[in-house]
Amino acid sequence: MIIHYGYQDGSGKYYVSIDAEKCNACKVCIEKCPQNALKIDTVMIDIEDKQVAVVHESHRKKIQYTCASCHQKKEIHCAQSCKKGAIAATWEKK
Amino acid sequence: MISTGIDVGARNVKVVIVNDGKVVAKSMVPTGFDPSVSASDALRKAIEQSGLAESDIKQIIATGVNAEMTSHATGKVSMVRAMAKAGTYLFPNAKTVIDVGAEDARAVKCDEKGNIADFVANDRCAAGAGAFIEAMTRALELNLEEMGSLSLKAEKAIPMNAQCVIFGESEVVTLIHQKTPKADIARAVYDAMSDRISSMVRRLGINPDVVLIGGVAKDVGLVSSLKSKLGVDLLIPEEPEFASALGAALSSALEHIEDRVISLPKVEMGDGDNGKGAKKEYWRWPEYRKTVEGMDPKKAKIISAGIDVGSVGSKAAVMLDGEIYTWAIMRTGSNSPESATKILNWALEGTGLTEKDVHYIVGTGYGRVNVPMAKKAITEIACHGRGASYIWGPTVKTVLDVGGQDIKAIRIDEKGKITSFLMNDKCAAGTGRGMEVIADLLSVPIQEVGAHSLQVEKDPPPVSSTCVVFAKSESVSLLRKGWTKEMVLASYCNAMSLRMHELLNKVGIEPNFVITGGQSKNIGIVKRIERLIGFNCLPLPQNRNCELDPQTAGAIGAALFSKALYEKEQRA
Repeated sequence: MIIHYGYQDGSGKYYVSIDAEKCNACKVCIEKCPQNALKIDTVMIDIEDKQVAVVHESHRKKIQYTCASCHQKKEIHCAQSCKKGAIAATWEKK
Repeated sequence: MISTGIDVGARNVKVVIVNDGKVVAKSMVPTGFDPSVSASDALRKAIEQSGLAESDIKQIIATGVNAEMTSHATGKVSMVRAMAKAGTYLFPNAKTVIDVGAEDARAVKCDEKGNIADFVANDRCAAGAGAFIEAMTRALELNLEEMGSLSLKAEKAIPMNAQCVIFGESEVVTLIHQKTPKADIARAVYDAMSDRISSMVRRLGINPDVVLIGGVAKDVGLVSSLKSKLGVDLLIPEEPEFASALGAALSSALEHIEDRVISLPKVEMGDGDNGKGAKKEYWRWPEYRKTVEGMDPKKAKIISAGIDVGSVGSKAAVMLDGEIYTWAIMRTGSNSPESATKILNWALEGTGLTEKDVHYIVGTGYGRVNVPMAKKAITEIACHGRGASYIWGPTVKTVLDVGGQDIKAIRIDEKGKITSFLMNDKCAAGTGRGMEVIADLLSVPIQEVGAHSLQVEKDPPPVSSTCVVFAKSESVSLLRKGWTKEMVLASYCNAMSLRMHELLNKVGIEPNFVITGGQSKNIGIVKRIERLIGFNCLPLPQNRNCELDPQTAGAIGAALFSKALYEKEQRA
């Protein structure tokens, strides 16, 4: 189950997408994120609860700014460090 | 040398006349509906004040969002150049200049010489601009000065969830209903706004000295909050609202200027009608409850319920052994636990059942953690996915849920499992709340918006701004241009459908496709989305003993989860 954290507003689209089924909560992305925007939390897959990486609530509505520097340097630490290939990121300004 | 700068902003036109490096006149008039008229008016006022003759004014440099609209300008300078020029002129050590206007916010990083090294701008979303504060003062029934000084008396820092002006207004109203002190609310408003501004500025890096200009710089509440968010002191010029006009005037020497004498047309300024009449609630939609005929709760083994406390509507569904028995929909009050209790009681009304007879209750929606009788809270995504599969059958692959304050796009596999989803609750564009704002503006009852929007021969181009606040101003100017209400609604619904289509693309669209939530009843949205995706929504199944309501999909899904969780509990 891919969860797209983020939003689209008049200025563009900004997402961090995490596949909760692939994620094994190894926490590497959490350590690598220069903005400390990720954490481990409970996500319900069907009726089972699972501990996975999620985007911190306080960052979900400002991904445009949170993720700007990684995207400008083209070093998407979370996505590149994930051994399971569970993270993808989008940052497109209009 | 005499040079004139004119800043044609979203709300006000500002003019500054500089003679030999000294400011000799300033004027400001509201931008109104015709910026070119207001620009002439502001220029005339400034010239009168300066004691100069019209023929002395040979150079007029325009800047601001509506700079194009003035016919008197002999040159133009970009907003970031004007603000950098002004910032470094007023404060020679300025390295960062922040300008917060009514409908935009910008920041510039300059070097020692005042050259621009980098800049950021936000002019696509009203959150983070003066419009945000303005809207909240209306909700708080305060004026700008009152709100600023009141916020400094706040005792508690309370967080504000809303990132959008439209949602912010509802949140403030809720906080007032909860008897939160106005001072604390005012501070929360400023903190939310400075959080956005500081996030934007941080992209440039914060290099002192930091200068703040624009009308918002006069607001003590915002200044105090922004200082603490940025962690630096802010330098603010006297009359910061004129800074960009001054910057434009100072830029004149840099620009190529065509020397000509201007003459100002004599135009009378109208005072603009705001159409203030008796307030009718055009957004109001009907509340109702329903019991499915021919079912006997006494024979049921498992009675499960789902309560979906949305930001705008509360829904409850009660099921007997996994089959829908009753449901109810009403407007969410300011108190979520109370709304949850009320809606469940209403759904149970006349059935002989009470809350105690229900084996398991799941809460969902925006207020799901505030459903006191729920054993478990489940995200609305899971509930909407499951509810849609129940209403339309297991062939449903894509669900678009358009609620009051969010839009969800959900993909489901053939086993009914969710494979991908997103929820956009940052921006009001396309949401039910956004639609209510336009219904109110045009005085069209909310249930008729869709039908009206389809009464056009050809769809006009979509409104260019998706931000509801900007789209609202745009709609007003379209009406002024002579567009009919139907055309404006068509243009608005068109833009909102495009937005929803983009969100759907993020998760991928596959038939069978359905729309749930309040906006599934907006035919103007449904038809346009069908056109965009190239196929129709599944029709509501007619084979049941009664027609289900897609607005209750979340509550139905929650009731199904209740049943599953109850069975799991029994097995354990």
